[in-house]
Amino acid sequence: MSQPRCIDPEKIIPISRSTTGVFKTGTWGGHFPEYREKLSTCRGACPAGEDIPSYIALARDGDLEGAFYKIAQENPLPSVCGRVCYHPCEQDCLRRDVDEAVPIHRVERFVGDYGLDNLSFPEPIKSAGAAVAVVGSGPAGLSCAYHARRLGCDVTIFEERELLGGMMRLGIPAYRLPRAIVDRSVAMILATGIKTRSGFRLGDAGTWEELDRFDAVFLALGAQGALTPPFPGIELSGVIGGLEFLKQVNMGQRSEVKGSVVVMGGGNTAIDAARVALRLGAETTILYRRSRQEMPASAEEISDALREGAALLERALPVGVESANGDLKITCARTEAGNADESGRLSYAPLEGSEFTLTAGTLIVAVGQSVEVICGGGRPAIGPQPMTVEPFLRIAGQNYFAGGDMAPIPRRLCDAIASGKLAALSMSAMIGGLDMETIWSRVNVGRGGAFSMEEYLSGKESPSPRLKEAVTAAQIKPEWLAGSPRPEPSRLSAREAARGFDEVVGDPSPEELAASCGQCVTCGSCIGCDRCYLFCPEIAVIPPEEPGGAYSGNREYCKGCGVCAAVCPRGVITMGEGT
Amino acid sequence: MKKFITGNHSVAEAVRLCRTQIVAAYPITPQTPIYEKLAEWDAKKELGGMMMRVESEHSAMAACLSASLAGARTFTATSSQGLALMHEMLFFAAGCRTPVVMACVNRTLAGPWAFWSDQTDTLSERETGWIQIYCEDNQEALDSVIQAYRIAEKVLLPCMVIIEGHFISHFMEPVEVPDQELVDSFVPPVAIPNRFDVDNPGFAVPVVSQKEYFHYRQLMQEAMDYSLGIIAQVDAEFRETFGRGYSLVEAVQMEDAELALVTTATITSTARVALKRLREKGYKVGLVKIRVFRPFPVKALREILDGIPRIAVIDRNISLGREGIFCSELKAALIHSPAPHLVQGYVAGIGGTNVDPELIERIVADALARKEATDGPIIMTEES
Repeated sequence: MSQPRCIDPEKIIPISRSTTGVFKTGTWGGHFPEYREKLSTCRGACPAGEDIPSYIALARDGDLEGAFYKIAQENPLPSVCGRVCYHPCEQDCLRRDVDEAVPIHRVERFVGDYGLDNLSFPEPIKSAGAAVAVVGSGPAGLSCAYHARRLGCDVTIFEERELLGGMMRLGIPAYRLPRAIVDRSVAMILATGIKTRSGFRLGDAGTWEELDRFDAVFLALGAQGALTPPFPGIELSGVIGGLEFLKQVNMGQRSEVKGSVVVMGGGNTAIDAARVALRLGAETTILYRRSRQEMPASAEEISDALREGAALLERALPVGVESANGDLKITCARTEAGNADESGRLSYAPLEGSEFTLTAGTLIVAVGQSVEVICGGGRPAIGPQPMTVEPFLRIAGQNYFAGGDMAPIPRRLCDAIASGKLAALSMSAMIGGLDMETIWSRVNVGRGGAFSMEEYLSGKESPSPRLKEAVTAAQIKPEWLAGSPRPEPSRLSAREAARGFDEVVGDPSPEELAASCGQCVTCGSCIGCDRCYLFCPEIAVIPPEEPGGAYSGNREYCKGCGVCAAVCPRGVITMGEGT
Repeated sequence: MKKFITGNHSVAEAVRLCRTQIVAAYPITPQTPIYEKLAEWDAKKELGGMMMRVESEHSAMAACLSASLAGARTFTATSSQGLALMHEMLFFAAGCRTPVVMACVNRTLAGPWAFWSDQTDTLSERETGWIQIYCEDNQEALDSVIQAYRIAEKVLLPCMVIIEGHFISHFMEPVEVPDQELVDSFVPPVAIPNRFDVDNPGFAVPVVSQKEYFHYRQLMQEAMDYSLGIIAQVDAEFRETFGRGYSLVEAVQMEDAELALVTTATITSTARVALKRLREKGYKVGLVKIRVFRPFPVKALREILDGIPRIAVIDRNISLGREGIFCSELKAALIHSPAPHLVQGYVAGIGGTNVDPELIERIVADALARKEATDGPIIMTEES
């Protein structure tokens, strides 16, 4: 017996295979969704403009090679940055609104080390027919050399010392950045075909003439002069500058320190000096004139120093030093907070009558660095103040550019690397007669000073939306985020750490990498999750034909309900106005 | 195996025996023990299917109809306020042509708040497109759930099996719980159309035009008509397999009856006692039990009642402003009878009040003495 039509499964209910049927629900809506990728806040905060969400996604998918080359589009030193950059990216990570920031630096370190072990930078494919000189081989100089080489320039690095690396080698202690990492990172950059000239100290006319032969010159000499506070006894033999102390230890010229140590200062140099003094066996006290919360050093480094046994005296500063029985008698004063200074921080002045005395073998003064004065010989005058440069780091009217710690930018590793990259682009534009303003509007990242070299080299005319408008916390949907705790890196115990110069923070394991990558929601970037397509009640979201393509909307049926935007965890789809 | 169990327990036994795959329900007195019994088996891994926790009856029905659209055999149970909350989804379940099976335990609707048997809750859902079966006792409750799966999955309409609060839900009776093998031979493996095909995605039950809507409603009406035959056929097969059956409508001693007493559900049991006494006193009274209310068994009723001059209908429900709902339905069903009947409606047992044999005898006496019927119902209470 044939089935009556009233129970025929194919006839009893309507099923639409393409649209939601007869009603052109698109006529109902006043608001329509906009599919637009956005800048991830981490990338917006990275001075080097690294495409963080992309490399994390690649690493998550197991493509470590892809992840490494993605970072290398912007920064040739991921193994270094993964260890010692203070990761402003994590400060701006939107995940902090939910629980904690994605541990981006750990991913960068894993990917960077993978690259050092397995990969090399590609040789430049084109020649610009131009020769540039880079003076100084710290992070700024190396970054500039690397990017200038990518832009097809013939590059020569001039360096005073035998070994390249600048502050990565002289300033940062090995327990934070093993020397093998510096050696291999430098070698990898040089292997792209960069010439080096060591034993070069800029100064006399001959050295300037040598540089004048280049089409463009990038000066990245650093800030290696010590600021010295004006108190009596500063010249005594037991008193030493923080950076000088670190250099002596890092260059193997010093393996001991006299007596107990007092470190004056609250920046990273002070903390590094204190931790190095501890490792040389000294009882160490840090004196800082403001409170611990106001210390410019990384909070992690401060707590590591204290864990390893350093003492911290807040709101105190030395006001005079005398020599007494072979020791230093340091007169200190308590401070009291006054008005805010130019930087917005409270100024602290010695409190009269609060003096007390500390006895120490060594006083390390780490209160800041200046640019070393170098005779200009008619060329740009250098030091002690930061160089005056135009927005794209050119020294006005000359073929000279300046970056890194000698330029008026934050004295951080990431900013130095960023300035080297910017100088490379800026030099290339000058040589090629291109307008930097025009280039900049296309390639700059967000509203900050970073730009994307990848975007520049792509040659695309319209910039990727992933570089411009930043995604906001309100646009991402934390309810879709997995609630796993941020993985903690392995580290040496304080006792083991203080015993020597072994790296304190351990290598990330593959499990830590997976957990770290898993925390990233890839905010601002579409990963093709299909959520908008699946949740749209009108089947009005049209998925891309090829993976990686954009989703579009069927206006005949999109009634503007906003479900797609509500379920997009990454803030790519937002509701717009009108048609 | 004979078990001494409540009506709620009987329903749960049937749900398990039918290898139900998804149970989504929300507790409400007096239905809760069904849910609890199934949950207890689930906790002991003896249920076989999956219990799904939901936050309301509305969600329970949404879950069941969705699971059913995905091809699963589903069950839920509710009462009174819960059923009222589900109202919107009942239309959806029927309109999506999903063979969801639901036990409804009749209970008064608030306010005022009360917990006792009253059929108005389920009868209020008569327009939703659900098949409705009203049960007289615990055994019929168990058997009707088994039949309901066969019926619903054949005609692709949802089916309510209705038992009265407390009188069935909580009273214990000896119940024959059939063997799993026997039930397996009667209820086939699940073959409900799966509307969710990931390889051929589509929008099930989208917006349609006026004409299309009318068309699908017409198909539902046809399916309801068609299901009358299926319900009878399933009941006949059940009788062959299990040795028990119920029919759409049951006639008792109607051969020579001058008056038909029409009842439903548990009042029928009491009426059977009253009928025995009335017959002993010489009254030519018969009894008609309406078991299936949707679709309404007009033909079966007319075959029994066409030649009967007097009809008394007892309703434990009331459509306020009119009369008992079975009475109204019956009057409409008999409009084409060759000779007119005197049909008198009685409303009794509202709020779960007792309807005893004496009250039924008084109703019969009234109906036999009556020259003409009243337009509205006669309200009968124990005291009057």
